[in-house]
Amino acid sequence: MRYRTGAIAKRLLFIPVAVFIVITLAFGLVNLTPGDPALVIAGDLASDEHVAEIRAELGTDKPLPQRYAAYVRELFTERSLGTSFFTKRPIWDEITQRFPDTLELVVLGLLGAVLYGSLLGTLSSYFRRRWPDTLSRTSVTITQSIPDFFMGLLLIYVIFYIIGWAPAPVGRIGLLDRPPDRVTGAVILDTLIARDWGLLKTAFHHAMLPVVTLALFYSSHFAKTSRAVLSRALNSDQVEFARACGLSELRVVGYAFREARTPVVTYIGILFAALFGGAAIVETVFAWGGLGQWAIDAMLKLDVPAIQGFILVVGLLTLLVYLLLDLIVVALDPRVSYE
Amino acid sequence: MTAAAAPPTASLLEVTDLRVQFRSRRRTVHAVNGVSFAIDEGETVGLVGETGCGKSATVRAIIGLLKSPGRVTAGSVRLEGTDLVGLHPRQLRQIRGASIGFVPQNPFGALNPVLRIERQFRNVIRAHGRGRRAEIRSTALDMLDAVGIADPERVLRGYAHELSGGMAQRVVIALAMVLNPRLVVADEPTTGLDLTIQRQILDLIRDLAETEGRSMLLVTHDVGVVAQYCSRVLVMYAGQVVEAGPVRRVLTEPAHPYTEALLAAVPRRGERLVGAQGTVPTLLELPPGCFYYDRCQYRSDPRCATEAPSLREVGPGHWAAVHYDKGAGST
Repeated sequence: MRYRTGAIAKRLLFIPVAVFIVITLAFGLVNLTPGDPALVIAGDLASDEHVAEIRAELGTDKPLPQRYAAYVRELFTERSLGTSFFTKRPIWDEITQRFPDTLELVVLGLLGAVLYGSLLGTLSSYFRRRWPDTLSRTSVTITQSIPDFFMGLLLIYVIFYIIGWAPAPVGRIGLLDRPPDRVTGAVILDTLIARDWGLLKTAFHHAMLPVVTLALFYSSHFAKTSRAVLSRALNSDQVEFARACGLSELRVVGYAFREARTPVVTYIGILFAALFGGAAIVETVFAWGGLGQWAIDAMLKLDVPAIQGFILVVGLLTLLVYLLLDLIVVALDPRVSYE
Repeated sequence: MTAAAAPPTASLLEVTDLRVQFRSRRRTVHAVNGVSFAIDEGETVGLVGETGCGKSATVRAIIGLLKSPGRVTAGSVRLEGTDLVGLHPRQLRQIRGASIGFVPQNPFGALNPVLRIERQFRNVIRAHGRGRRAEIRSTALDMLDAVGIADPERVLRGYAHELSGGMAQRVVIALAMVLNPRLVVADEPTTGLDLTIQRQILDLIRDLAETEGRSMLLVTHDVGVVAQYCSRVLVMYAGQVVEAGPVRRVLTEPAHPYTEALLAAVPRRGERLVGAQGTVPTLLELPPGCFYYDRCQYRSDPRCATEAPSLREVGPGHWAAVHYDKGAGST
């Protein structure tokens, strides 16, 4: 146990370095790429003087090192991510406003993907080469070959337009519904807190298609991973001995599943971090109004502080998730240590 | 149909004409081809043969754990009169662990790597009935003590990877025998352990079997182990028992040429190492005559090539599947 805490401490020491790298990358990625936001803001017909004026106002006329210094200083002394070139609102406010929506979508979507994918993988490996395996592999092949935005559109077309089970893809709740009082910012949670059951139902109804889209699309990862790991585990000496001791099949599958636990948890962590940007297209299709949708918008408009802020926040979030992931893997498997 | 006619017997385990095939779309492997033997109460029987002779498949068929696509195509495995072949999986599960204990080859592979040893004992005991945590704990402690674990408390708290090879195998034996099975099936239980520990583990298994009057089927490819630990031996070749009998007699006066070759291959001090000639047939297509025909140095009888020999008694309790009495010329 002692050496494991030591390993964790070592892992934590790496964090400040990684944070610095993320901060620098966020700046570099945005400012080193070509494109002048002043031109976008000024429009095609603006005079050169006007563009120069805007540049001075935005601060993009200064040399790069100076801008980097200003950005880092602002970050640490004022704890500010700057203000948007367009809305003039603080980036931090823009992000915190949208973050809970994306979090809700990602958590629900991943939950669905893990449950559905692991179920497919388990059935597939337990009934290897029999019909449940064929069925599950067909499902995986289909869901992974349809791009997520197209799957979203397909679901909208079939389930909203033809069958009419889902509401129109207009966001978190209906256009005429009054949003719940903002407590956490996450609509479903807020309706729960407000005990507004009617609105909760509406919110779930609206969340259905985007969540199913993400769940179906990402379930293939979990299905393939768990099938591969479980197939091996179900053929292992460990499982044979468990069966030879007379353990029930349910328990035997449980033994095997423990082998699959680490890769599945690792996948959850990686996808969780990746989906904050990766769900952007699904958010756009369903007018979800989350972080990803906002970031795409900012990129199209060259809103430098917004893009910087987005990269920074998602980068730090990824660091945090990976750290948690490592801690969870250590906690789950007594054999793992970072020696 | 034969079930009703079968006479009552004192044997604990009775395997009759067992056949196992591994059938895939392209080919069929005949792994076990009509194996019959019995194990009496309190008896330790050795099962020897080279790799690929069907030892493992026979053992897996007995405990009902043949891996797909292997399956029993004919024959019966009677434990205390109950045929285990075709038994409902739930009933078979109740027998495994409780009536038949299985000691596998590789202890580290067998133990669950992420569960504490105590939890593994609990799972095994609760698979066959109820039990309070404290009771199970004391049963497990007693059992670990019985297999010679010095600090059972600590082992119970720990994980498999913290054990040495010999200790891990002791824990496996404890798990296999915790429910006091009447029959223990040990599949090469000392492969992968170093020599001094092999001896200790085999001594331990024998002592545990003897004190409780258990029967044991000890699978090995080591004739020396059979000589020391078994009372009777079955020699397997190409999925058949080619010779069976009391250990002393079979090892001193082998009646089957394969047994003879096996014994000649045992290394002896000061002598050149002799390897058995040839290899086991592929078992994809069974030859019409004796399976050992190609490797046999005594083949002379015309029946050898065309007719498979069946076991016949060549001495008291000593059976061999040969057409010819190879000692006939000298006696």
